[in-house]
Amino acid sequence: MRVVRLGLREFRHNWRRNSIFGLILLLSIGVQLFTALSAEASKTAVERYGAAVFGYAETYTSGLEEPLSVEQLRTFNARLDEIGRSYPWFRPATSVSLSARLRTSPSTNPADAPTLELRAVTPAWRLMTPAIADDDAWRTVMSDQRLGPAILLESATAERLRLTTPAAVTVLLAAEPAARTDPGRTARSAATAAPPASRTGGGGTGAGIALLNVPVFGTYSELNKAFTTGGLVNQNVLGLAQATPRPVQIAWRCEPTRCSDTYGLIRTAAQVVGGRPQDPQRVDNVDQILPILTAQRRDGQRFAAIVVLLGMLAVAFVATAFIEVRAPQFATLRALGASRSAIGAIALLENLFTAATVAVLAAGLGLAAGSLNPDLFNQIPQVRLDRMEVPVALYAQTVALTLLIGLLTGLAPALRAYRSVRTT
Amino acid sequence: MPADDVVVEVEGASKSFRLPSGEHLRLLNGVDLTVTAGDSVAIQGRSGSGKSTLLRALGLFIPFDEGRHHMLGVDIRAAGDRRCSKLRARSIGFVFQDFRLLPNLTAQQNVEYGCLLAGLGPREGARAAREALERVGLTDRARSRPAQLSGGEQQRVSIARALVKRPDLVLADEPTGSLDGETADVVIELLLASVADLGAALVLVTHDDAVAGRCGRRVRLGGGTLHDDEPAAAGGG
Ligand SMILES: Nc1ncnc2c1ncn2[C@@H]1O[C@H](COP(=O)(O)OP(=O)(O)OP(=O)(O)O)[C@@H](O)[C@H]1O
Ligand SMILES: [Mg+2]
Repeated sequence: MRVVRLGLREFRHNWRRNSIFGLILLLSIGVQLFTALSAEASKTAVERYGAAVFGYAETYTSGLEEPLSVEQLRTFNARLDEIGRSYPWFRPATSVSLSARLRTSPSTNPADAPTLELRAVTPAWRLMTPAIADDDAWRTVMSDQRLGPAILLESATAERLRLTTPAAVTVLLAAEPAARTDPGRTARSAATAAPPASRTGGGGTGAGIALLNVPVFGTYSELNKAFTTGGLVNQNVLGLAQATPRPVQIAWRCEPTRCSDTYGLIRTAAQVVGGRPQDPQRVDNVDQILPILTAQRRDGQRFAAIVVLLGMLAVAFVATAFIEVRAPQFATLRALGASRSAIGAIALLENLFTAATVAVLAAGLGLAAGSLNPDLFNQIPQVRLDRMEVPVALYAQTVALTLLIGLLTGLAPALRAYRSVRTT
Repeated sequence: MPADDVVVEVEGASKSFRLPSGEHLRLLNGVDLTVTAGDSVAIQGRSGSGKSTLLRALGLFIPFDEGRHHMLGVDIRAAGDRRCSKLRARSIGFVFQDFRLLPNLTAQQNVEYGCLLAGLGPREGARAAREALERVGLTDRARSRPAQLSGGEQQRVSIARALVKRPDLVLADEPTGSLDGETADVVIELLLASVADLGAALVLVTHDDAVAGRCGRRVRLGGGTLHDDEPAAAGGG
């Protein structure tokens, strides 16, 4: 008890010094708390408002019955080349062109893997609206038997999907981002180009890893994001992203009336490449999106963990250095009758009290920021949270973590104090 | 059996240090010293003779290597750090040449600190500290920090801190070493009077013959042992 009082006293009387490493601790714990709060708020946003905002109520998954073979992809590649040769005007009109590098070896050693360039992908898509259905150029393309299956939408369907001209259904087939990647540009040009009249825009736009991208609402969702509205395709779609073609998982969300339409899109997209999708399976509402959030959360936590670890090291060093500076004072305490272990405990407690202050401060700042702007931590731009949430468990976790850090980083200075005590 | 009022009893004590060269420096070699309550002992000796080392051992910071060392009936060489710390907290008061006040505390808080470790409650301690400061005549500087006090004033605070817990033994290592002559007189006067008031024992190291002269007993440390300073006056050992 007496030692606690003494530790508190030291803490109070050395607050200037303690505030220095308190600040370091606050910064690193702040990163941790912010990351955790962000993940939590984003999850809340999706769970509570996702259905309303993103326009879906149901989630389905499907896959390809068989993984695509390299041969199929080669054929697809050749077909795209053929399209490019036959209809040179077509490419700029669609403005989607991607390159992909495909490893064909099943070996996990990348050095063993011969690479195959899958380039110049294009648009095996057509959008039928009253405006362009009569277009001669389109008719020619559509009647060309060499081209195989393509995405074809009736105007009514397009309407229901809110795909009004000149919005487009874009099927992006790619694996590796091309060096010239500009997803934003892809998005805009895909959405605004009215094929085939507009032939501007280069053929060299690349995309991220996501392969199926169905813009809805006339706005384009960022590639490779969890919220590709309408169709949500996981990163390994069509097996292109990894060394060997892999089984495909496709997930999509839809409003009940549109679900079969969306599946139609996905089926077509798969057929374009030469695959057959499995029957769709309904899954729980947010189950599909939450794993992605969880993955993001994990990444965030990993980052926060590194920051916290570095912070801990810094705190331990700084605290130990301060103890060294104060060695004469500890010697005086010893002359006043403090035992070695008491002096070690005082140094440890001082650290703990600083950590406790930081914990209170961090939690207080988090709560204050959250009450000022409930949407502050939410990373889902489509949703605005306007009610404050207090994830109590998360705050408790942060406080506990801070105290633990205080304890751990206090060990080094405590040991130093215990040992360094020398009196002359 | 030592008499009831024996505070410190040292017999045949020695202390060696291992020098960086590997040699052993036998600094104390057969020190005998008995201090009873009310005694004031001045230790003199050449620089490097081991006076501070002896005082550190009496202050229980370092153990003697050999010999007997008892304090208030406790066998120090058998006692652990906790026991020694407790004795130091309650029964020993220190006065250092360089005062050793805690720089970020006020005079009042510095004195209180002595009480805190001696086991007094906060309120009791605050009152005792106020009284102790009053005795050294620094009531009006209670809220000053060490840096705002003169050397003499700091040493008076340090005397208040050493005596506030009513110790049995006061150890002072050149308490006037950093003070000018006039201030030194005031401080030594205060120290001797306060210790006498308490009925405590005082062991004081000094280079100053005048200071030593005011103590009840003068001893000289040389060749590792203590000699009575005035052989002619020495009645017996
Ligand atoms: N821990 C130690 N290790 C090694 N040598 C030490 C140690 N402590 C003291 N000494 C040596 O012992 C000798 C006596 O030191 P001490 O401080 O006791 O002398 P002193 O009599 O107080 O001298 P002064 O009058 O100058 O203060 C010195 O030579 C010193 O270097
Ligand atoms: Mg000395």
